[in-house]
Amino acid sequence: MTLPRSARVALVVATLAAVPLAGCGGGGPATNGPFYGGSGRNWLCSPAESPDKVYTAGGVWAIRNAGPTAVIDNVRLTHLHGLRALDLYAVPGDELTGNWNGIPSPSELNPGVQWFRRQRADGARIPRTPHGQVVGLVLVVKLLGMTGSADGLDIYYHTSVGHYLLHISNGLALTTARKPGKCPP
Amino acid sequence: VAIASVTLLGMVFMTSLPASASSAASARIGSLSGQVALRGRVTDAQGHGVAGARVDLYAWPASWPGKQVLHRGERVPLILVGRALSAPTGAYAVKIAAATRLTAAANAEGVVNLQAVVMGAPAGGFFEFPRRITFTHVGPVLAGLWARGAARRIPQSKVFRVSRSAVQSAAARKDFCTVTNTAWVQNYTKEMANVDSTFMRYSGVDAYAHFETSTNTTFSVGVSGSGNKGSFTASGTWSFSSTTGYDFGHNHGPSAEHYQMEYVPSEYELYYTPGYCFGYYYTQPSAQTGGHGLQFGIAIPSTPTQYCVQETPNATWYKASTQATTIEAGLTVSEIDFTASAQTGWTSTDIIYYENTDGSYWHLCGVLDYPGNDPGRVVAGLP
Repeated sequence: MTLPRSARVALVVATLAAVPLAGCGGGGPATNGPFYGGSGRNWLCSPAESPDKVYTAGGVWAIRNAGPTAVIDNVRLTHLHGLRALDLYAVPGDELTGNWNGIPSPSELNPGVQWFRRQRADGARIPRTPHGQVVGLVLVVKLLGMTGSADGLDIYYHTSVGHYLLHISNGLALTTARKPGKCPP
Repeated sequence: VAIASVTLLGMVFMTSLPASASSAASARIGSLSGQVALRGRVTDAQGHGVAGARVDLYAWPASWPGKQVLHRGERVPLILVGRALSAPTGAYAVKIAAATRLTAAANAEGVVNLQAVVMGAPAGGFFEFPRRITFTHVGPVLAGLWARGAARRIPQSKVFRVSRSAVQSAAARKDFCTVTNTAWVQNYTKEMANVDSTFMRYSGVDAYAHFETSTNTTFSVGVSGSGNKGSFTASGTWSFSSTTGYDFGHNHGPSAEHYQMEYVPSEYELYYTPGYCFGYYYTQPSAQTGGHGLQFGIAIPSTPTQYCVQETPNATWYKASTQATTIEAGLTVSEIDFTASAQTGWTSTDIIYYENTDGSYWHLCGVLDYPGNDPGRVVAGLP
């Protein structure tokens, strides 16, 4: 489950700035844009191997674009605490990356995951999603303490028509305990 | 009674409406006024448009169903919220003309049950559907319960297939009547309804469910002109806000189970003012008993490998669905031969959990999409 050096460097170079950490969405952008994804409230509550190891959440958030090409302006984890977001990618394909302790090597991923076409989520250009395809949002995070969580994602994006916000109420909770305990936390 | 104009496809009809329809509602409520709640066509059996049919739209009071102790013959005061006449093509569009009353009829979750009746139609002229009053950045919207995004604003549609001669006879005589109320006739035998399901293909996973109070579950409505056994057919849906919740216990994989709650189906009858009308009988749940159950050994649905997601060891996955989940077996009303297989329903805000117990990587698969989106059903384990 190791990543080739080049890919690992790319991940490490990723900065906190790539994923704004606060999620106090304003009232500006419209919520009826062409992106869609999520449904109801979902949580993945998982043990992480240890605080100093990273966790790859690549099966929690998946979006599709029903309109013209859009550009993601930024993505914010909502109600984030106890986690350090290292990077966030938009990965197209017809399968999701899945969730991993550590960072998977590309060879470990399902063949339907087009990892080679990944983009840093902030600034990613997302064309209309063809039938059967999806854009997975792959978050690489690290625990800052014993527990950490975020209860969703705010995706700010724009098209030639306007600026939009998609909120996905899919949460992620990590713990160093062997079992996740109460879920959602 | 105020007089308001109803514009329909270029024609203007003067129509009586409740006094509150013309009252000064607040801006927040008032912007529901004029929104199309129901549209479609009134046709004859051959599909040709029927002109001049009057479609009335009523709202059930917020205190119904499930919040009242029912007595034989007790009458539910339905609230007229809109009215339309069909055009020569048979097309109609019922706009909300009583926004204040409509808003008052919504339950705590904003859900309101609406009932449309084509006056003078001896059959095929009855339809129920729930909507949710949702507040958006452009104001309140009468939205579909389960649709997402822009689709939520699409009005409910319904094609009424009715007797041309009966409807036009009423129109020609201008002898339309009005629904004054609906009366509870009787309760049928209590029935279990499936409110959710979990499926595990292997032994390393537990699953359990929690059904929440105030969950809106939508059931098909059985409608009949006579009320006789075997004469009920499904037409529209009815939203029931649950009065009791329940924590179902853990189930160990491999296993597949329906989680069930118990409801009381009831028969109702429409009452009219004098005029050219035909009665309707219909059946829908009137109460939830608090009873619950599990049904094991059900078939595991197939899941495309594409919609399977790897999860980490010892993880728990939680889903509180607010989307439609088809209930394969709704309420079976044996007394009137209204069969469960003809019914579909949907539930929301029920919660299911899948919990890995063997400490290895595992998979969750959706039937229709990824588990975190709108999967329909979720199955633990690769196909």
